[in-house]
Amino acid sequence: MTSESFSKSNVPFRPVWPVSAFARLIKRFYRIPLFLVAAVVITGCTAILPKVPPLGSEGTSLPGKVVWHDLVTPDMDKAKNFYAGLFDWSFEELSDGYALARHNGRLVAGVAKLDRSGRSSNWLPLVSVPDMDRLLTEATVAGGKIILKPFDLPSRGRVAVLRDPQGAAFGVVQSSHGDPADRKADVNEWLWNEVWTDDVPSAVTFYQTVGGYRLAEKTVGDIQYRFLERDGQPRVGLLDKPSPHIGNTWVAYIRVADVDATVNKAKALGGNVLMAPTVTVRNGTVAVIADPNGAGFVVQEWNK
Amino acid sequence: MKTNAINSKLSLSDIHKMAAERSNIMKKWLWGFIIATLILGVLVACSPYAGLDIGIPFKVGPVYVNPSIGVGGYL
Repeated sequence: MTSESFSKSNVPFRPVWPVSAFARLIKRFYRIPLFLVAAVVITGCTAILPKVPPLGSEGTSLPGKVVWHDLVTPDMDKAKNFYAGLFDWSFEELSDGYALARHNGRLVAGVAKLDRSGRSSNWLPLVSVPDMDRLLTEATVAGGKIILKPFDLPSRGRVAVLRDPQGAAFGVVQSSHGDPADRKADVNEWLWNEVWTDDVPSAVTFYQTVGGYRLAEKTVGDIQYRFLERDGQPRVGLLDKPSPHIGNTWVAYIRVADVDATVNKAKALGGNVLMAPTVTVRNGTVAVIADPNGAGFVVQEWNK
Repeated sequence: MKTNAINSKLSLSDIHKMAAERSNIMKKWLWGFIIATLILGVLVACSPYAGLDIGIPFKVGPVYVNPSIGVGGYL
C-alpha cells in the first residue's frame, strides 16, 4: 500500500455518506426545526392540528345549534374504555392528542387530551355560529370571557371556547362545510343540552344577546321549563343548578334504552353516579353520571 | 497512529483537525436527531384543547336532584 493510497482510503473519521449528508443538512437548515419547535411551543399546538371530518356536507348553517361535543380529558385511554363499554362507541385516533368517537359508524364526539394530569375533564358542547369574530366581540361586551382564542381545525372550521358571565364554559364553531341536519336522537347518542346556573335570568340575557335565541317556556306539571330556541327549534334549556356545590356548567344529555342498566354499567366501568334514577325526577328515567376522569353528563330514557 | 500519519504524510495536527471536524459533525448529527425526535413527539401529541382548564363543575357527593332535569329531552 502506497502512502497515497493510504491517505485516500483511510482518511480518518470521515462519516459515511448518509450521516455526513444529514449533518450538512442540519448544519445548513438547523434554524427550521428550531423554529418549528418554538412555534409549536408558543402556539400550544394550535398551528398544527389533526385533520377532522367536516360537521356537515350540504353547507347548511344552523346557528345556535349544538353541533358537536368534545370530551377534554387528561386520560384518553381511560375515557375511551369507559365510553366504549357504556355506549358501544368505537374510537379512531387521529393523533396522540385527539380521537373521534363513532356509534354505529356515525360520528358522535371527539376526545381531546389535556396537557396536564391535574386539569379537569369536561364535556364541551360546540355551538354553531355564523360569524365568529362578531360573536366573540358581542360575547365579550356582554360579560363573557374567551378562554381559548379562535383556531382553525382543518375541514371543520374556526373554533373558540368561552365562559358565559356566570362561568359556564362552552365552545363555538363557525363551520366551514355547514352543520349537521336536525334529526331524532338514536340510543347512545346526544339528546339535549342544558345550562345549569345560579343566575338563570342573566344567563338568558347573555345567550339571547350573543346567540340570537328566543326565550320559550313549557309547563310540565308544576315545572316552568325555560329554554332557548332559534328558527323555531328548541336548542338549549336553562335551569337552576341542582346543587350549590357544583360550578355553573353546560350539561349534555345522552339517550339510553335502559337508565338502570346504564347506571350499573357505568359503576362497573369506574364511573360515579351523581344522581341515581329517582321517581321524583322524570319517574326514574334520568341519571347524572361522571366518567372515571370526572366529566359529568346526564343519561335519559326517551321514548317520544 | 503516529506511524500511519508519517506513512500517509499527514501530520498530527491534520489528524487532530479531522478528529475535531468529525466530533463537530457528530454533535450536529446528535442535535439534529434530538430536535427531529422532539418535533415528532410534539406533533403527534398535539391536541386542540391541550391547555384548556375549565375547572371542576361536577363533584362527587352532593345531591343533584332537581325536578327540572330531563324535561328538555321531551321538547
